[in-house]
Amino acid sequence: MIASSATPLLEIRALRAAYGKIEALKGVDLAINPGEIVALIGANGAGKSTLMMTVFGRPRARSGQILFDGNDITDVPTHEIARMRIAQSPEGRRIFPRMSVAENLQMGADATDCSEAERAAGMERVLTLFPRLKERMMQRGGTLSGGEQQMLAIGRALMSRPRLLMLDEPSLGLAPLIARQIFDAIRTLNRQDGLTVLIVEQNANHALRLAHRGYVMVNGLITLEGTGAELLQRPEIRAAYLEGGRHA
Amino acid sequence: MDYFAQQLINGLVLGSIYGLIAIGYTMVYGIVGMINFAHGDIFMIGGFIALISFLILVSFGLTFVPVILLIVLLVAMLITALYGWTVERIAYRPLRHSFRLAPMLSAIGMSFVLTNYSQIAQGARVKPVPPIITGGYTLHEGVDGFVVRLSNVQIIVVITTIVLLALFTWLVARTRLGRDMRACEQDQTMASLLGVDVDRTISMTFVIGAALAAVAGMMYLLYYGQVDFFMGFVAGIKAFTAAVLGGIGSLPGAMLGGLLIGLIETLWSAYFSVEYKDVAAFSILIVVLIFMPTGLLGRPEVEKV
Repeated sequence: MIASSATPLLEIRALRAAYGKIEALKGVDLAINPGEIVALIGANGAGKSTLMMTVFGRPRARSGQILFDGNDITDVPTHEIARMRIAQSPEGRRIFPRMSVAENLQMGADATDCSEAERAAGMERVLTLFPRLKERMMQRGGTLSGGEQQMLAIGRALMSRPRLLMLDEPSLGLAPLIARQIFDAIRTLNRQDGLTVLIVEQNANHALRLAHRGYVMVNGLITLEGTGAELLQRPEIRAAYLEGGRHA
Repeated sequence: MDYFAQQLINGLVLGSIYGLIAIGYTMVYGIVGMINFAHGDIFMIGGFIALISFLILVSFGLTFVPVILLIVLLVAMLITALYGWTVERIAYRPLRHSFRLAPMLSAIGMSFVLTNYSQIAQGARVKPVPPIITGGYTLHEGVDGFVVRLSNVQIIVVITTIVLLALFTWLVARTRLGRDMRACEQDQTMASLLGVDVDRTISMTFVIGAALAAVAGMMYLLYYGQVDFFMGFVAGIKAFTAAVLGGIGSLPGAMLGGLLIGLIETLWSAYFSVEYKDVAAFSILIVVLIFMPTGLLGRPEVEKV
């Protein structure tokens, strides 16, 4: 399926990061090949969100290396990393509450210097994926429902025409039907446009079915790695993340 | 009635000047959550630069007033903006991730530095200029002989304020820089994840705030015909009051607050006593804050997330 000899789009080597004295990442290795959907699963506090933010230098890596398309971006300023077309729909969605939906999407488009035509095409694509947003264009982001905010956060990330899309818990707090819509949208983007996706999910079942490969993170370390199907079969995964043991 | 109309005009003109300064306070507060206590002194610097460039132009033999005013305006905005940029760069940026009180203390220090620097460089005496813009219109002449006048200076102050306000509103609402500024105000981390250079955007906020304060400084010079090294203190506190009254962080609030403070001060002086005009302005601030803690147009802190 995926050629393992190709240069990974994102490669993380022995990455360590900390908030003050609390070490959140204790030497993480991870690679994402172009065109892949990779799921990162693990309990709360395992360091999944930190890993995504550390790719952007927030917090900065204490040691280790982050390579994007073969270039070392470990010490590149956050806004320049964004301009390399890595986009994130972060934990807590972080849409701009006092900007309209249209302006939120425009912020995504501003991240990369795109032409007016590319911007219009991007807008078209986002509104096709999430028709709900079309009805809300002039409404302030803060007045949207949780599901709509999630769609907006993903839409905003897509507006920068990302080469790598990182989604932090896109289904968190959503009704099952809307969560399924969002997973369908991610699959469509991957199949049609070859979009590379890193997805962090609490819903391990969904995420592993969606992903080509998955990583399991425990206490700041990767403990397991395999294809989505393989990981779904592992008894320890089933016990820990699938059979109601998530909050145990 | 005539007397009231005249005071209304005077109050609105003074309020325009306060409003221009207040915008600088409110913008900086919105984006970095800090009161820039040196902003009043930036206004004073603007007044001085306007004065100096005016004298230089006159010494070159330039006499056509509209051209002089335009050049003075641009020079004052440019150089004062440079001061604003420098203040942010050396006094605030290094402390951005420090504890909350640190940049505030450094701002107060910066205010002293600018005041004393002007005193040493320009002398402590009040610097008068002969009236640059003269003439005006008589709007109404009452039976008792009281004349309601609108001077040309007043017209210029109000028109300049309106034009700048329109430009500035357009900048914030419609341009990429304005969008970036609002994004940084709402969520700096997310803004940087979307490619916004937060440091540069904050610098630009100080630059624009300083440029508006420079215009206010020049208007003050034209209107009162003098500047001095200490004028930034009281004007700064008044404008800060205006920003809080209107709702700190709100741009229309800053302008509204400025106009109100200008009006309150003028009307109080006209009907009660000049000595207590500051007491009146600050008392009204206190009363408003008791009943509306976020100011007239401020938004409550709690947001639906």
